[in-house]
Amino acid sequence: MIEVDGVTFRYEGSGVNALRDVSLELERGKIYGIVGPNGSGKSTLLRLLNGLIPHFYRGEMKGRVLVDGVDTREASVAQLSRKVGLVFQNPEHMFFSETVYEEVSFGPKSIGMDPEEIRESVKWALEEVGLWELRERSPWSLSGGEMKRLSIACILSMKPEFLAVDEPTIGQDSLSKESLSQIFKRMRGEGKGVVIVTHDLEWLDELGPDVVFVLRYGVVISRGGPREIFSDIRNLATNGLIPPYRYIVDSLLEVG
Amino acid sequence: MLDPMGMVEIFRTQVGETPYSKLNPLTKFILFASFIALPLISASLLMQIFSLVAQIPLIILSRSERRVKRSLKASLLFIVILVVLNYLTTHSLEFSLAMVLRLVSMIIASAIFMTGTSPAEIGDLLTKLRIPLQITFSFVIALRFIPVLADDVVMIITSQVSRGYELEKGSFLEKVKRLVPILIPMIIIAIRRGHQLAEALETKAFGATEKRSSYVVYEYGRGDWILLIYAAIIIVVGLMVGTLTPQFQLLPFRY
Ligand SMILES: Nc1ncnc2c1ncn2[C@@H]1O[C@H](COP(=O)(O)OP(=O)(O)OP(=O)(O)O)[C@@H](O)[C@H]1O
Ligand SMILES: [Mg+2]
Repeated sequence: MIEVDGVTFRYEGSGVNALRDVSLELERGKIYGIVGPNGSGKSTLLRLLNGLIPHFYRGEMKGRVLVDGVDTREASVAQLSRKVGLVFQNPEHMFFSETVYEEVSFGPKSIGMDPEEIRESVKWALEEVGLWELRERSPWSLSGGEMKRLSIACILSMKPEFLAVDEPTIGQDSLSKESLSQIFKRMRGEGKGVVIVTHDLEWLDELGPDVVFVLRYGVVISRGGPREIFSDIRNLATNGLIPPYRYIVDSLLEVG
Repeated sequence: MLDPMGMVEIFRTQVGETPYSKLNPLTKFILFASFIALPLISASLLMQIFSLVAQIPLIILSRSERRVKRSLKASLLFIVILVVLNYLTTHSLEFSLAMVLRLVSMIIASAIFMTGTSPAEIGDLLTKLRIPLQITFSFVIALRFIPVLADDVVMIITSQVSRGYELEKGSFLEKVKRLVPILIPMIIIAIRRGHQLAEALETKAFGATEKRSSYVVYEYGRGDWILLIYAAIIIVVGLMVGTLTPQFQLLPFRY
């Protein structure tokens, strides 16, 4: 379990708190959605989960984050990365290998998996995201959507207990979106915890998260099951979020 | 120990206005030029210490205390290596220290200027000084890219450590080798950014006319005059300090 316990964080040099007194618990075997307007602190929240904050981002932090009972301050990001896999918003920042295959094996090698296991998990990860056929290509020759899926494979191959993904659907066509949903659902089925940050509520609704958090100005302003959150159309709209289509229809019918 | 994120801190984008950033760009440029010239007046250690100390008001006005402190701390190992290398070739500890302090003080001066002056301001300034557009523009773009790339470095490092990568592991040589997964994305991203920029400029018909129009007018406030006087005093005092102490030759040869 990951426990975020009363965390307030302000980036060094910034005048405002990026997160304000955020408390939440993330369990295994569940999918969590995190939504909110630009700058509401979604990416910052993800950075807390694997210890990038406070290890790599300077600033003022109150509260604490526990990953299976271990305070993230007491463990290194490299150690935490075995448990919490974080996929960044921008995939380009991570690629340095000559081939897609090597790129995906970098994480498993870093955490010291044995060679046999690496081979298996790299193949599995690439197949999951549908890039096995492109394994000999250079990561830089891929399209934007493929790069994003490659970045997910890079983390999947490390077999983390929790997977946190920042904006997985950006640049994805509807087929890829569907296959991403399948991956995340399978992970939930295998008892992994999945955390998804997205602006794409239509897709999130289809994914069927267990809990949705709405962030605004660094505060969790509402949390609950998808039905409860998505049917509060006014709340979503005032936060610049487009509710899933079927909820809009429902509310129109109700008014009518 | 080797903390590349800390080293680039001083060049990272600064959010918000500071008393320094509100100065007239010409004032900022003159201050910058003065603090680049100051350490060059003489090679003495005293001169270099004076240059550093004289910059303290600017560091405070630009609210850079923490960034400067962090960057210095992160670069400590690097600085020590420079001093040692310098000592091995010159056999003068005082001279080595002076040279490294000179470098540090010039880096601080550049960082304050770059992070506290918008590229647009620098561009307008250079245009006013009748420097050809091609040169002005290249210069501005180079400056604009420094904080962007510094931010990229942060994203790259955090991406790699999130994949279980340990920067700190191993001997010094191994650590240097461990920078590869950081440096390669860095270079590729820089090249890509360059291409994107070229395309963006072409679509905006950059270079179609010799004369670009400009509508911004910069004013002089009291702060500007105070700091210009400060710059003048610093240079005069610097010249005096320069005559006070014996000069070192650049490489003291022995026969
Ligand atoms: N490295 C940083 N240094 C300083 N401030 C930062 C940094 N990263 C983010 N911030 C600030 O923290 C706040 C929250 O940013 P964050 O990136 O977490 O938002 P977000 O919800 O992910 O937004 P988006 O939807 O645009 O990705 C913003 O005000 C942002 O400007
Ligand atoms: Mg974000």
